[in-house]
This record gives sequence, structure tokens and C-alpha cells, in this order.
Amino acid sequence: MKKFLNLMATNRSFFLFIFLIAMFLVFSFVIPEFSTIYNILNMTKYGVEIGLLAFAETLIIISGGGGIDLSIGSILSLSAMVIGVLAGRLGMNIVLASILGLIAGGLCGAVNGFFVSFLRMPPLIVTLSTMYVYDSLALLIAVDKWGNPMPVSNFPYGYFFIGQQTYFNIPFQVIAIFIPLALILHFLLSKTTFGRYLFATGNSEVVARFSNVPVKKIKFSVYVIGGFLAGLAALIMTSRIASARPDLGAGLNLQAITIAVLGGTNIMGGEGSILGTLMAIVVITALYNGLQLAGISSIWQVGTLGIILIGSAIANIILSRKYSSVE
Amino acid sequence: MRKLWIFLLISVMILLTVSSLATYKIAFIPKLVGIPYFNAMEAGGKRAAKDLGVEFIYTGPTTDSVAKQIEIIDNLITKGVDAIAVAPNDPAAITPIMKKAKGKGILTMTSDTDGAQNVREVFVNQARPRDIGYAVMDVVAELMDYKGKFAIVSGGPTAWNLNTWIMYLQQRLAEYPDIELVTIRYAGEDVQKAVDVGLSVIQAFPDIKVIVGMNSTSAPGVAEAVELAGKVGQIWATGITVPSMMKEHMKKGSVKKFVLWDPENLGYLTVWAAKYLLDGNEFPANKPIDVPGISTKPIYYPGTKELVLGPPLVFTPENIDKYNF
Repeated sequence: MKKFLNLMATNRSFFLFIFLIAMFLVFSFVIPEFSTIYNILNMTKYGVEIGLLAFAETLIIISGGGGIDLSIGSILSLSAMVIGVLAGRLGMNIVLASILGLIAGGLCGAVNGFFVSFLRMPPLIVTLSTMYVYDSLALLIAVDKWGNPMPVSNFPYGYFFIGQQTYFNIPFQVIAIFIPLALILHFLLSKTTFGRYLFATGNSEVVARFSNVPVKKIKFSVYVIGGFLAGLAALIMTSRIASARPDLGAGLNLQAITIAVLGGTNIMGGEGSILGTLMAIVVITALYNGLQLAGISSIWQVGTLGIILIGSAIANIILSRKYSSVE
Repeated sequence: MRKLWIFLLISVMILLTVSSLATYKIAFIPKLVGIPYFNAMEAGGKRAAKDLGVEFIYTGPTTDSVAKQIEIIDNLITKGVDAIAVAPNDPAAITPIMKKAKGKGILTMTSDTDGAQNVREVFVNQARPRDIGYAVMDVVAELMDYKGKFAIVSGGPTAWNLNTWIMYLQQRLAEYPDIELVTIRYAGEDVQKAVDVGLSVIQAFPDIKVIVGMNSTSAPGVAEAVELAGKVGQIWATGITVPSMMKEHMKKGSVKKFVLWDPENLGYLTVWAAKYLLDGNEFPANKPIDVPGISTKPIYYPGTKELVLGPPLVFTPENIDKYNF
């Protein structure tokens, strides 16, 4: 028992896993539809887009020095509009438009990364500013010939398989994009030089620099990867809802950060894992699904994310004071 | 003894099946929850559910989020409701999920705002543009005793619905030979802008008798302009807006009548229509339908599959306190 609680206290992924099982049991008893295979598979698609943003935040926050990206949802909005305007309004080939949408996401991340790593500006200030700039740009390119920012919905039919196709109820974007990407990112963080450099930079920039870690390049690249992930989320989302809108990323900035932190990413940098963030995404996706199926008003759902975060932090503190043999 | 148990078990099972079949689950998803307009629709839906013996589910996003609205509809499909009526935040984005609902045998409808036109079974419409335009013109004529000049302050110059209403208003104007429309100005979706535009209109045309605000922000805006210009009693402000934004101006004497529809009745009609279709009925076409519980006689137009609540509602000092949206 002591060993179990010790693991709960020291390993955030394990803690979230136990939490998930407990929540799963409760929901299964109360809501008959919850534990059906259909529902479990169907809900996964709602974790994909926010999950990609949370992965982006995980990398960025690990890089340390106050690393954070408040503009991640705004990048999603802008990338979505780039795809929408190019393909829907200007009639560009959808594959080319999608690639340019991804590049737009990467460029947005590169702008953030440039200011943060090469001009040494605080990430909070940089991304707070670019959040407004990207939101505004998304609205600007959404303006139609009558002067109003309008969503674009006339995508070619073939585009919809990314976000709407399912195989035995498993969404395409989960099996073909999200899971492989989670594996790649996990590998990147835990098995590569890049991963080691990233954690070293996050732990102490000074020490890392003395150990010949290319700190600036590492910091720059996590923002670029983050931007690409947001662009990918935009691609999936516009395909899923068959519409590109300048407000798609609204409210996702802070949600993505919250999920990364819930997953055990240390807001001071140098600590975190893809597995932990993944567990947090699963917990939050299942929680929202359960609350909605239970018919609980969405007014309550808004607060639950915050309550879970603070609750898990408190539980962690109590557990680690009592049982942690580490520290 | 054993037979008795089996008998009991079977009767319980039948009872459970019957009770779950007997009441339809009818869901309405507003654009967002927590605003007076949709609260009024919810109240109407609840009243209809009580009258008709169905279960009414009211759930929606807390902001006008398209993605969240779709997720909520998907979960309603999982829950297995019988009918889904939605006021879509994005008419196109709602289409895939409505197709999915329809594929699962769920009755799909839109209400308040149309969308997914190729999929939905019926659009429960609050009022036809023609009726709205005509109603506003009739109010204007009455306010000025069928003689004189008036001006219009609209929202955006390209707002399709507002322009359609103005077009029908002008069509009706032709029937009032002694009334003249002097100008149409635009103030966007901004009350303060409408005040400024209203003031400049009053300055340019001091002899107008009525000033019309065509959208929810322009109507209270021009009312305030009349008050600021000290023209209360000489110029009437009117238009299309929610009562909560006009009450104060009615008290100050710049507004006597204005136009909207009754969202409570719209909510009632939505649930009524769902139950009616689920029972296997078809709406009688192009003639007034008797719906007990609401104050209008809706008409169904099969060409566009629209069920229209009825003529718009004219708000007056006598009836305004009945409405809290």
C-alpha cells in the first residue's frame, strides 16, 4: 500500500491513471451509455485537437525560462483560415492549401520562437502580443468581398476524410495522426539528443550553455514545432466540422496550458512528459463526455477543469509530504 | 413459485420498455446558454414538454462555439434522443453531425436559425422576412398617423437579413401614399454608433416623425438619440429589438411600439413540432395550424420545409412587462 501511494505521489501519469479508473467506474455506474465501446471510441476525436495543442505546450513549457505559448489557439484559428481562404475562396488545390496552412502555423511559431530565443524577450509578453496579432490576422483574411469576416465552408468533399472518416467507429485522425504523433513526440523527448538538450535547457540554461547545448536553437525549435502542431490541429478541426472559422481556437490557449500542467509538466521548465500530458488529455476528454452525457449543464463544465487541476495539485502535495521517499 | 418470478420479471421488463418508449426525448441546442433570449425559448420548451408529456432536454455551449455545439449534439446522439433541434452557430458546420443524427434515425430540426438545409426535416422559423418588413412599416404608419416623413438606421450595409426586411418594408410603404422615407443610414452592431447616427439623422431631417432602428442595437440607439436631441413627443423611435433593451426608453417616452417575435412561443412550437412529427404526422401545408398553448397560428411551407410561428409581435407599454428577455 505504501509503495502504491508512493508511486501516486511521485509519478503523475500513474496518479492520473488511477484517477481515470475511478472516474470511469463512477460514470459507468451512473450513465449507462458511458462505457459502451461506441461512446469510448467516438469521444476520442474530441481529444485530438486540444491534445495536439497540449503536446505543443508541453514541449514549450519544458524548455524553461518561463516558456509558455498563449497564442497557440490563435495560431490554430489563423492556420484554419489560411486553409479555408486558399482552398474555399481562391480555389487552390486542397492538398497544397493544407500544406500552406501547416507552414503558416510553423511560421507563427517561428515568430514567437525568434522573439523568445534570439531577442531574449519574456515568452509571456511575446505570446500575449502575438495572440492578439494572430487572432486579428485570422479575422482579417476571413473578410469577404462584402467586408464582413465570414467562415469558409465550401471545401471539396475529399477533404472531409481527415476529420470525419471512421474505421469500426475509430476516428481516422486518432489512429492515423494523433497516436503516431504521440509516439514520435514521446520518442523525441525520451530517446534523442534533442530531448536531452531540451530538458537540460529547461533545468538550467546557464549549465546547459556551458555543456555546449545549443540553447537558442532548442528554444526556437520548440516554438516552431508547437506552431506546426497547432496548424495540424487546425487542419483536423476544419475537416471535422467542414468549416474554417476565425474563432475556432477561441478559449483553447489556456485550456492547452492547463492540460499540460495537469499532466505533470512543471511550469518552471525542465520537467514533463508526453505520457503525462496524454493521460491528462484522456482524463479531460472522458470527463467532459461523462458530464455531457449525464446532462449536467455546460455552465458547470467550464469550472471543472480548474477544480481538477487544483484538486490534483493539492492531492499531490498531501501525498508527497506523507509518502514520497524522494526529496 | 418459479412461474411467478418469471412473470414478474417479464412484466418489469415490459414496463421498462414501455416507459422508455412512451416518452419522446426532444433536445434543443441553443447557440449558447445563459442569455435571456434563449432562456425564454427554454421556458417555452419546458412548458410544451409538460403539456405534451415528453422529455425536454435543453443543453448548449456557454459561448457561441461551433465546435462545442457539435460535440454536444454528438453526445445527444450517443444518449439516444428522439429529436434534435438546433439553433446553429454555423449553418454549414452543423451539416455533418446532423447527417450522422439522421443516419441514426433521429428527427433533425433547426429552430430560430436555419442550417443544414439538405438534412434537416423542418426549420421552425420565428417569422418570415416579409411579415417582419410589413409589421415594421405598419407600426411606423400608425405612430405618425399615416402621414409624414421617417428615417431608417440599419446595421451593416451588407447584412442580408436586414436588407431583406428593408426591401419588404419599402414594398409595404407603397401602400401609404402620404408617407415618405427620407434616408437609410448604417450604424453596425453598436448601440453607441447608432446614437451618433441617429443624432445626425435628426439634425439633417428635423421634420421626421419616426426613426426606425432595424436591428437589436440600432433600435435602442435611435431611441436614445431622440432623448438626447430633446425630441421626445415629436419623434417616435421604433424598430426590431428585444424588450429588455427598450423598456427604459418606453418609460422615458421616446418609444411607444416596436417589433420582434415571442421566443417563448418559438420554444414551445419547436417541441410541439418535434412531437407532432415523431407521432408520424405531416404538417398540413400552407394554412394556419392550431397549436394549443401558443398565441399564434403557425403555417407550414412545404417548399422550404419551414414552419413559421406567425406574424411578428408588436410590443407596447401594455404588454412589455410580460416579457423578460
